[in-house]
Amino acid sequence: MNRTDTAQWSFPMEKVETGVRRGGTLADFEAEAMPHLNDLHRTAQRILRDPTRAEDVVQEVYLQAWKSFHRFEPGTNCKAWLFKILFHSVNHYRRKWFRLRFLSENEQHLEENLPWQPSVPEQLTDRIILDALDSIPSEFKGVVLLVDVEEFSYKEVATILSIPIGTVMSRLSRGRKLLRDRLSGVAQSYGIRK
Amino acid sequence: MTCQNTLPQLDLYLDNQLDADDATLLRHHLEGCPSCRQELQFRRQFRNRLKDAVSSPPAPYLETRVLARVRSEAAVGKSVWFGLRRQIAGAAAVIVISVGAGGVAYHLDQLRIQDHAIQAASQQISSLMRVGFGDHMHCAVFGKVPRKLVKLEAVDNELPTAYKPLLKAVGEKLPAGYLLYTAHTCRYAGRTFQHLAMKKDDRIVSVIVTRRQDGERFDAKEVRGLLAQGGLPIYTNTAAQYQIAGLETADHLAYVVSDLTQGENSALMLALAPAVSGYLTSRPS
Repeated sequence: MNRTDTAQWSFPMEKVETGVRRGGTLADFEAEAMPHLNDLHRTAQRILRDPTRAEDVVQEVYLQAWKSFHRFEPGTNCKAWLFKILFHSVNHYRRKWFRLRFLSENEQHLEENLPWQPSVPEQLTDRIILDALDSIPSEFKGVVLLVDVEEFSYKEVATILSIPIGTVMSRLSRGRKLLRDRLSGVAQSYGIRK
Repeated sequence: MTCQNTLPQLDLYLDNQLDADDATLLRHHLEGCPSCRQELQFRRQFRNRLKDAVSSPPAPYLETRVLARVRSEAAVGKSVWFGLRRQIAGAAAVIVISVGAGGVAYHLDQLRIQDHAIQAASQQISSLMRVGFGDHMHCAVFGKVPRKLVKLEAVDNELPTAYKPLLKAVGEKLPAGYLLYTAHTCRYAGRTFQHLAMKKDDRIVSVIVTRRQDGERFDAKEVRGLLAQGGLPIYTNTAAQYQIAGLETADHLAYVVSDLTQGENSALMLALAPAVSGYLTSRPS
C-alpha cells in the first residue's frame, strides 16, 4: 500500500498545539509510521493469536513509537524500527504471563543430512498453514514471520529481536524445517499424500 | 556439488544470502538436477503460500483508532479542560473520572479528538446520516474493546428482554462468521440507541436503532444512493471510508454502518432490512 499521507482514513487535524519531536512533527510521524500499520497488525495477530490483544499491542506500539520519535532518524528504516518496538512490547507482555519455552541453541542439528522432504500440496488451506505456524515454538515463528513474510534481512531481524545473526539463521532454518514437517504430516493425514 | 550439499543452501539462496561463487555453483547443480530444481520451486511456492495465509486486508477501524490515539497523545491538553466545558454540558458521553487533574484532562483530550474526527469525516453527509454514523464511530470504533467475541447465538440468554427480538432478527439474516462485538444501549449526542456491533475479518459492522424525532426524514436528494427492498426505501452514503445505510419506520430510524465496501454494506442492509423494519413496526411505540 503506497501512500504519501494517511488520507484514506485520516481526518483533518484540528489546530492543537502538538509537541514537536526531534524526529519531526506529528505529520512526519504519521507519514512515516502509519503505512506499516497493516504489517504490524498481521504479525501481532500471528504472534499473540488473540485479535483483541493484537489490536491493543499495535496501538501501544504506535504510542511508544510517537514517544520515542525523537530517537528515530528520519529516512532510516522505519519499518524495522517499528517492528523492534513490537517485539519488545510482545516480549514484555509475555514475560509477565508466560514462561518462555527454553530450547538449547547449542544443539547441533543435522537437518542437512535428512532425507528428501516431500512437497507441500496446493490443497492446503490458509487455516491449516496458520495452525502449523502456530504449532512451532514462538521464537522460531517470530523469525519465520520476519524473514519469509515481512522480508527483513537477517541483519535487520537480528536488530529487531536483539539477538546475534547466527541465532537468527539457526532459528530460521529450524522453524522452516518444522513448518514443512508439520504440513507434510497434515497432508498425509488428509490422504493428500502417499 | 551433490544434492546433499545443495539442499541446505536452497533457503540461503532464496534469502539472497549466498555469495556470488556459491550461488553460481548452486545454479550449475540445479541445471542438471530436476529434483533439486523442484525442491527449490516448492520452497519458493511455500513462502508465497505462507505470505498469503498470513496476509489480511487492512482493518480500517484500527487505523482510525490508532490515529486518534496518537493525536490525542500528541495534543498538549492544558487548555482542553475549559474548551470542553461547553461540550460536556450537552454531551452524554461517559467520562471516566480518574484521580488527579491529569487523568481527567487526558480522557477529555481523547473525547475531543474523537468528536473532531467524527465531525470532520461527516461533513459531507446529512445530519440524519450523521446520527447513525456518529454512534458507530463513538461506540464501536472508539469505544472500549471487549475482551471476548462471542457467536450471536450464544448471547441470546444474557441480554435484557428488549434486545432479544432485534438480535434474533439480525442473527437470522446475518451471513456466517460474524461474532458479536457489543450489544447495548448507548447515549450519544442527546439520543438513545440500541446498538449491535459485529465483527468479522477485521471489519466492524453496527446495526443501530434509535427513535425518530418529529420531522426527521431521510431525503433522497441528500443521500448518495437509494435502494429498495420490497418497497422499503433504503438510503446510503459514505463518510470517510465508512458506509452508512439507513431506513425509517413510523417511529424509528435504523442504520447499518461499517467499514465494509459500499456493495457489501448495502447488501447487508438489504438482507437485514425486512426483519429489522418488521421488528420495529411490531413494537408498541
